[in-house]
Amino acid sequence: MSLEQQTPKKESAGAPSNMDSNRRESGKHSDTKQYLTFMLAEELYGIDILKVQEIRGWSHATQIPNAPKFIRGVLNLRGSVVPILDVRRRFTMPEVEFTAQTVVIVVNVANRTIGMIVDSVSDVVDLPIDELRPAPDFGSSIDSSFIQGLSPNGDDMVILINVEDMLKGCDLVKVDELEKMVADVE
Amino acid sequence: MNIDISQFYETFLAEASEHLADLESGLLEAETSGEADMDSIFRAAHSIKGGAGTFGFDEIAEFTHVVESVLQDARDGLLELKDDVISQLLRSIDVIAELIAAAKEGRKADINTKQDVFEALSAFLGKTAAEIKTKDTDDGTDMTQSDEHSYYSVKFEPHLNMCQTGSDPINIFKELKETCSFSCTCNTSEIPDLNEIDPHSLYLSWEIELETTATQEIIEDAFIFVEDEANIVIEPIAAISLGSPEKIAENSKVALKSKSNGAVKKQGSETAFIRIAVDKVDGLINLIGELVTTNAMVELQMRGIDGEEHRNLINSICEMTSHTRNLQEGIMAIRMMPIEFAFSRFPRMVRDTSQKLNKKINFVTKGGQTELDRTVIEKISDPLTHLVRNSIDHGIETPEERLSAGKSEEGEILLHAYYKGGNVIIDIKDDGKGLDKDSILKKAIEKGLTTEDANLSDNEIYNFIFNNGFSTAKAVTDVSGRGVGMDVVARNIKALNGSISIASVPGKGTTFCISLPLTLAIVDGMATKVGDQTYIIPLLNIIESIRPEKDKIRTLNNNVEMIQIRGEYLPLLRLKETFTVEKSTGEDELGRGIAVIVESEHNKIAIFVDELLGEQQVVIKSLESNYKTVEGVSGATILGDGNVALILDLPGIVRLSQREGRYHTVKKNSKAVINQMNKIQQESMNENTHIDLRDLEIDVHSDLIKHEQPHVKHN
Repeated sequence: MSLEQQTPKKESAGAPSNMDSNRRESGKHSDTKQYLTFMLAEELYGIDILKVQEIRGWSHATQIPNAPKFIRGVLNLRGSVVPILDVRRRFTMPEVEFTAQTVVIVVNVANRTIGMIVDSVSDVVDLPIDELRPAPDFGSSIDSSFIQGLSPNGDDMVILINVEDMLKGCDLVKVDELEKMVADVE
Repeated sequence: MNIDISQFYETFLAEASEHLADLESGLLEAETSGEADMDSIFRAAHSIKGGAGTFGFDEIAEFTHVVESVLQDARDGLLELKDDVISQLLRSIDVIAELIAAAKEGRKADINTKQDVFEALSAFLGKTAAEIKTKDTDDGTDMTQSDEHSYYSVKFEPHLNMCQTGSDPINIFKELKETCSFSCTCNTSEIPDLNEIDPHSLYLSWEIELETTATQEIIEDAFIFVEDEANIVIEPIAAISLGSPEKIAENSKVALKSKSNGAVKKQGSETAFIRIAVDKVDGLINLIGELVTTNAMVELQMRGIDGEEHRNLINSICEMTSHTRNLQEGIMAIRMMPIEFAFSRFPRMVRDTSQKLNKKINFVTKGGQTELDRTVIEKISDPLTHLVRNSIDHGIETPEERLSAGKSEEGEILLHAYYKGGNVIIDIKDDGKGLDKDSILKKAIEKGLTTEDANLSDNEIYNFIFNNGFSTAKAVTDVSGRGVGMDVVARNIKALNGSISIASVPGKGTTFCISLPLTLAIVDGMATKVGDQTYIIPLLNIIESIRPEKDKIRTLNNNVEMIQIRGEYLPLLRLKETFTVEKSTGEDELGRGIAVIVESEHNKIAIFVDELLGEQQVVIKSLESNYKTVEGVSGATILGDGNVALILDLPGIVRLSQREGRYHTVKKNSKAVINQMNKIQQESMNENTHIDLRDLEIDVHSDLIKHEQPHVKHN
């Protein structure tokens, strides 16, 4: 919650497809946007901080019958029942033991609350929007549809993820329903 | 001050609907008993008109004005409330209801009967519609003034506490003085000794003599705000007036006196209610659900505490627990409404339907004060309507048939609500001809629902009428007979976690008995353990739980398992496999686990679980709000330890079990199947596609899995 309050300005959550045209057109702008960064298999990822509701530790989730494997189950989040998405499984990364660092980032997307399990959270960073690079096209070998862009951060690079796009393939919500909701929000 | 009047529209429209309901029930009472509380009927119409005028709903105000005028004449004895008058008034209620609905939705009212009714009512008044229309809606102008001087004596005896409600007799006298010449005696005899005086009480009463050109109505109006707080008797006296003596005779003794029963009713309904937005109440209910859960967690922690050392802490926690429970009950009670709200629409429906069918019906309701959750009441109204309508159409015979059967001409339908255990029971009882067992059976055989040689109990036969498209009616009428009703009724009641049963005696009548849970927010469940997961099975569906012996299990050719219980074979569903529960404890060996026999929609199945944890009441949480509907699961709940448990949806489980065959055949390889399915899912994701797992077909005859044309969506 406190994270939310830190964000001073509310910018339109740009759709990924507009991202590179935005960059070209508004090259002079030096607007920044805040991102929450987290580690996943030694890489730094970032998501729009306005989507983040809270961060909590991992605790055992209740299994949902016949759910996709990357849905770890549901957790009790102060009375509401929240599905938990294992991002490693979602990205078909090798599984690791959960440690004390393992956290659940609770995000609010399209009127839904969903938890994402990541290896650890790192920081809140300001990233200039106009320095976003589009993800390279990997062809069909790697699914890059939910990568919003890559952003240099010091010597490092942050892979920015669009949460809505990531959820589209997750069988969480009917796709068209989600798209409509996203469209409504925008 | 700038007030946005539109914010009151909703309140007005809601209130108008309530007044309308009062009006309707009052009129129906007048029709059946021949006498009615005309004051309250009139007041309801008056309130609608007044509100509509204030908020600028001119169409409603104008129309209601005529209704009010007719009612006024009826109240003053100028017009007899004959059947045709009441019929027109009832029609006018439909018109007003439509006008209100139209105003609510901001559309134009769609009524073609309005002009008709308007003219018919105006005819009762002996005036043409046009005349009334041109008349100012403010009844102050032409009704108040007449040249006659009349004399009235008014006895005004305020109740002790009148001044505490902000009423002041001085203001009433001032108002009277504007239209009347006025002499008044004050009766001080009731004033007690000084040491007994309560300074907030009013001990005075007055006798007032008035000479006025205004009508009695104006005088009554002056007292209108205190009519419930005082005894008021207004009587015309000594006809020394210039007007006709008849007029005074007519007006005689129409008093504003607070009728004893009227007053009780009013106090009950007006002081006891405040209007709260439903979402506020729902918010409170959610919060209290949290509190109950948190409290359970605290209690769980408490067990590890040394009782001697922390006795005060433990005492406080116990106290908190009891307060929490009281708070929960109190807040749940807010959502409760008397079932009267659902019953109130029936008298009118019964009247209209029975007239249409030429039947005579005495409709009785009992237990209207029985309280039920608001949502349950909303959802039970339609099924009840259906059942009552069925009773009128199929149950009750025509007057001729009844007479020849030696019954009284008038049939009776009784709607009776009462508590029984943790449930509310609603009986719909008629004294008609009863269900025709033979023709139901014949129809059931015709439809292939049973065979001729089946040995069925009466109840089983009656239950056939809840099947889709089942009607034994010889002719389809516009009231019923299409056979779509009863299955909907049964389904709606099931959806409320309720049940319905039938008792019928040929020639004596039929009783439908609906049993409903008190609330939808909480369900009584049996907590069961499967592997490391807890599942809640609704108690309502559980028939029994047994520990099955190995030799009672039979396997059919499709590897579908059946369990034999007292000669009956039921499909056995292993929850562990249906739900692919990970980390099973090995308790699943038959002979160690428990088979829970459940019934849902006339299907009985045995659900095999590892162990029973015990009965508990659980607060239902939606799984859909953040996830999606899961087959076989109706919702989730939060257990005392803070973990989430899923609540089984038995109809869904039964459907799953009916499809179970193919899952069972690959049982030995079920792990491999799941892995394979997950692999397919992962692969498909990499291709940026989306496969619905349920559309995967598993070939039952081979250990390999084919996915025959899976349903692939390309994003």
